Amino acid sequence: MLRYIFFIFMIALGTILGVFYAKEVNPVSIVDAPPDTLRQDFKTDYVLMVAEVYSLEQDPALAARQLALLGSKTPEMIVNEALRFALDQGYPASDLILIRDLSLVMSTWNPDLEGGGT
Amino acid sequence: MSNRRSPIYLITGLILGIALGIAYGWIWTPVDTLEAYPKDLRSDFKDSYRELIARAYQANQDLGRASQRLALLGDEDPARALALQAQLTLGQGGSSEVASALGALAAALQDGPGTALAANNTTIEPGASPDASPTNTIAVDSTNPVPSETPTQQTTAQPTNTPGASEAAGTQDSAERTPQPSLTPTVTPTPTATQGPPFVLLDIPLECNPNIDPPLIQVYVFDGAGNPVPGVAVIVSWDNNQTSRFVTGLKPEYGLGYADFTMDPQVTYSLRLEAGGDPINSITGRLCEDQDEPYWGSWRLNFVQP
Repeated sequence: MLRYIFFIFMIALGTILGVFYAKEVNPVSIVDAPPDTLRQDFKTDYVLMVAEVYSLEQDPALAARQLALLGSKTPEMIVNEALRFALDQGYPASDLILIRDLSLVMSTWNPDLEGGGT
Repeated sequence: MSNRRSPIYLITGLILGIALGIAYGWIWTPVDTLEAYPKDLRSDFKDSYRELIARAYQANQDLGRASQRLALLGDEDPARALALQAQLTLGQGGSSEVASALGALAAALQDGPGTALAANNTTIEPGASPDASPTNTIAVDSTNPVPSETPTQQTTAQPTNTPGASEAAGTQDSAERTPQPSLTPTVTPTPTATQGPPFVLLDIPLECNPNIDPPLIQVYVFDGAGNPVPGVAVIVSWDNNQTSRFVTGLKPEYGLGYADFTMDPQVTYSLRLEAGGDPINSITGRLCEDQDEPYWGSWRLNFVQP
């Protein structure tokens, strides 16, 4: 009986060691990642950049194309997710306003009316 | 009796456990739970990211923020990476607007205080720019995050981290980070590499270097502050209306404002900058005689922006 207990204990110990090795010592490294795998704070900063560009260019089609890199969600959803994160993290109001403005534009933007779009 | 036998079963259990643990960590962990950093992006996505940083810089003129964002991409020399991308954009027939934005940010990095920060990949410590000043907050409906009211004044402690700024310098900190707050972006016209007064030819010294064979027409372009200017298009023409167009910055090892053209010393060339200015005519080979054997020298054309 004691042998079984030791055996299970060693498996558990080995599992812990294995997970530690796989996660900490030699973790899976991401190479050639697509933008939709970016961490949420990076995604939010990306959206903020798009919003900054939009504030200058006033080109919703360009903004939508830039946002499309962040995944298959609609531009409005991408911006709203970023806005929620920015609000949670207490971004400065100037940045929030830029993202909000972009969100408003994306909520009404229709690529069909642009004659192209994304 | 059995307990005094070889503890091979313990080793077996340990190996089995290690295998399970590694399999869990490497294989069974869902890939979509991995969180990438900008430096992990595929090369073409990095280019898009870099372009967006440059365009955002055009909008907000915040060099510090642009530097921090560029640091996330892990480029050894962000200014050079920007300049190279500007050249590639032009060379591939891409948008000159984008190339100008990239070139302008490259030039600004060389001039501005952010240069050292970005170029050296200095770690930006969280809280390096403490900001406890009153800031605006916006009320938001949780179901619809689009704020609808004018911001109201409220004093809040501001997070001061920049996303992954330290990661870019090699520290993979898992703590959540938020972009560095900055002053309200201002929308101002952005200088580009070729805006402002046209470049004028300062001088044309003959470079006598026997190691340069065949001889070159070397073009150096500097702005009014004496900084090299990348992304300036140069047009060389010669016999029978043949022309060649090249741009500064393609050989950053010689400086961001450098470009060259291999010349045939028997041919007479005319050169001008696409941005404007008078053409320089009658550029042809000239012998250097500072060695036993004469050899063809290279022309160095120094352009400056008055």
